[in-house]
Amino acid sequence: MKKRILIVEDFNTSRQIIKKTLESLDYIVEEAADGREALRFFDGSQIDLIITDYNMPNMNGAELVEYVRSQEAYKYIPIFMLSTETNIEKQNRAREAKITSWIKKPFDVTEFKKLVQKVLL
Amino acid sequence: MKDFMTSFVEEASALLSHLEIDLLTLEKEPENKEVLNNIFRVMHTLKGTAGMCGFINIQDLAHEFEGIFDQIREGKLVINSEIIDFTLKGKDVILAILKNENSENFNNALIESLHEMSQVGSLHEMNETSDKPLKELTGLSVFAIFFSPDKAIFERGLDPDKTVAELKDSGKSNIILHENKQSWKVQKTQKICLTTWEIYLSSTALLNEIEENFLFYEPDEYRIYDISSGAEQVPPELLARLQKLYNKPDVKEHLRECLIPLNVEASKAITQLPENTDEKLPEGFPSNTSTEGEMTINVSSVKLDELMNLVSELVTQTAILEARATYLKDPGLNNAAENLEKLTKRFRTNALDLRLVPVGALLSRFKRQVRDLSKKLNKHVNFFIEGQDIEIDKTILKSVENPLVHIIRNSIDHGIEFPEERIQVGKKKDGLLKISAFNAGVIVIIQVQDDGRGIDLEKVREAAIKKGYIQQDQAIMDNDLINLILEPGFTTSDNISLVSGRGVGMDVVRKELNAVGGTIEIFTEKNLGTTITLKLPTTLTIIDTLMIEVNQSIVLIPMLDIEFCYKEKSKEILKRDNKYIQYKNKPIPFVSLREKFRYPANDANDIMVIILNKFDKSYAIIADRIIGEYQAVIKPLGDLFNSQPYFSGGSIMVDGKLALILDTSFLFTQITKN
Repeated sequence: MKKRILIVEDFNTSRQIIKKTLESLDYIVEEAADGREALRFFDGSQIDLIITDYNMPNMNGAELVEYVRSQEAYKYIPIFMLSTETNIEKQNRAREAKITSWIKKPFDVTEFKKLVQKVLL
Repeated sequence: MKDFMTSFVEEASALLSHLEIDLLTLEKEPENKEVLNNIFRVMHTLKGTAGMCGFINIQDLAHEFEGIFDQIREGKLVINSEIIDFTLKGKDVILAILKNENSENFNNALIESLHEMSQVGSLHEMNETSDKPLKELTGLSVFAIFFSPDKAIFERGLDPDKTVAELKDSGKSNIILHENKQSWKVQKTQKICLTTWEIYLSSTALLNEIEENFLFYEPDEYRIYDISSGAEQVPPELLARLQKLYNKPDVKEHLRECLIPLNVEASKAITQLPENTDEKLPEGFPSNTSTEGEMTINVSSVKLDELMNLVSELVTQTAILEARATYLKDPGLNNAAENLEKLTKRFRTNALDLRLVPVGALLSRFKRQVRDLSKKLNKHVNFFIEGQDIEIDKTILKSVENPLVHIIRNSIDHGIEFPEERIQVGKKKDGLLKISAFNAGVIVIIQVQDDGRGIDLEKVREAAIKKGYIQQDQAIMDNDLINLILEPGFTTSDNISLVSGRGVGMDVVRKELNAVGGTIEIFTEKNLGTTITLKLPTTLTIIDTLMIEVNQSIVLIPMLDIEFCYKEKSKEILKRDNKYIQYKNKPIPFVSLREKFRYPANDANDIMVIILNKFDKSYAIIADRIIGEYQAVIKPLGDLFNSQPYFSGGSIMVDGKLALILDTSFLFTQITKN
């Protein structure tokens, strides 16, 4: 079964870059511009990985992670938080909400691909 | 097979009593070539037949002895009373196994013998390997890895099994699971991790490559030591731990493999350390648990069956109780019913767990056999195992052991060519032998493939005519012809080799498989190789399925077949005449389950499209709704429903209701036919 990845990121350009990168690996990629917009994907459809930004309007990354972890069907899926944020408190908040990994932006494309492939193995 | 075994036991017992006399003669007359040859022949014969009758232990023992007496024949080893001593002891062990005496005693005796043998055996091992470059012996690194993920690791989207599996793939490993309170499997279904893994891995990988496997873990969740880098690099408590393991009979054989590549100082340091009596993991290693050695007991399968029946009953009764409690609206009763339901669920998972074992447990045992055999026959074989995690009922797995032993032997002995021969016909020098296991609907398929010369159909034909199976000029399909080799007493090999037996072959294999309800299929192509497919239906299998709903009935689809699913907001496609939809820019056929099962159309707007992939072709089915993933325990449908082809099995769900498992292959053939 093809893996389906959800990218949540308010900045269109970086969303497209991530999307292109992942599509080159033959994944199905879905997009949402913020946490609230992402919620519509959690309707029972298949999601194998979420890659989300931290700072976004409406619903930020940590809030999104908390929501996902409260959903029985999505509780155990991997979540990457992709952010330029260096604020330790925010990083800790994301960790407490149980993210799988914190990836610093800007990221190295090869390294990023490797992480995604590894977690979806 | 039973008769065959009895005759083997008789024959072998007779050989063994002669062996004793010969051994004692040899001790007095070490120069007596005739007696020496006799002993060698006995071991050789035992080895050849024991494995085929399922006495793998005897086969291994006889193999070792054969090697040693071969050395003596060639003058590389000198007979002394020590060799005579443990050969006699080995003879006693073999006799004990044959008579099926108290297993504990013979097990201990066996280990003792093997241990003694390996000491002497190391003599000829040395001779054999001394001309190899040293790098080949020590080029591997050995890692000790302690891995104890956080209790809530699943909520971080990670699965420790995957991490461990990746490590496993990077080399040879010994993995000791320190479970805590419950079995790891139960922990996994409850999404709580209390387990610690202790892993010894010999690999060509570098330390940082091994570390990469732990990319998503926190530094306190794992510790990796390169124990091949020299004793001084290894913390003393780890050395003590290794020493402890090394002396434990049950793990020694595994660990030995890992410890061999240790460089001399390190292994010396390990064996010279005083024995540590502490059973626990040494201080300073991450651990979730106080370590308890895993203990196994044998339980009769009748008892297990009874337990399974009781569990099914319990599930149904609990569901009834819950419904009654909801109806009565008594909070106390409700509470009790809910708790009972939770307990029942756990009980059910546990009970199911008892019968299932991963096929890897058996398949990985063939590694040694393949290695030894190919070495002995001077063939180069690359051996691969796929699908080790596929789980199957233990009884069934056990019954395929002998057939697989035989099939593998045939592949190496008759299928795969000698290196020179392979190069001549333009193949790679190393032959390929692959065993793969996978789930297909309600059956487990185990396939043995080789890229050897294939079965010579002309020879099969000749032999078939000679033995009167077919007439001289009778036309027969290749497929029917090849299946003749499954007939009793049929053999084509010109000179019957000891390795593959004496014409007792594929017919026994087929009989054994049929006994557990399995089937065997042979596919062969000249010069390209042979594929033998074993199909094993199981009365009790768990597969991952997707639970869907069609007109309020539950249908399960094997997850393995699913490629993709999506929601379609419009029902326009149902009205199409051509019954095709677009998927990945290609038209693929679809079928609406409502239509197929003649249910009335419903008025909901949404429909679910599920894309299935069967035999590398896609097709779609349309259902009302997707409910979610479901681990289904498959039961056969029974005689009443055998005539319908759409469902291959059923599953009783936790609420006592029945769900049917869709036969995706049948649907596929039907769709493509139209």
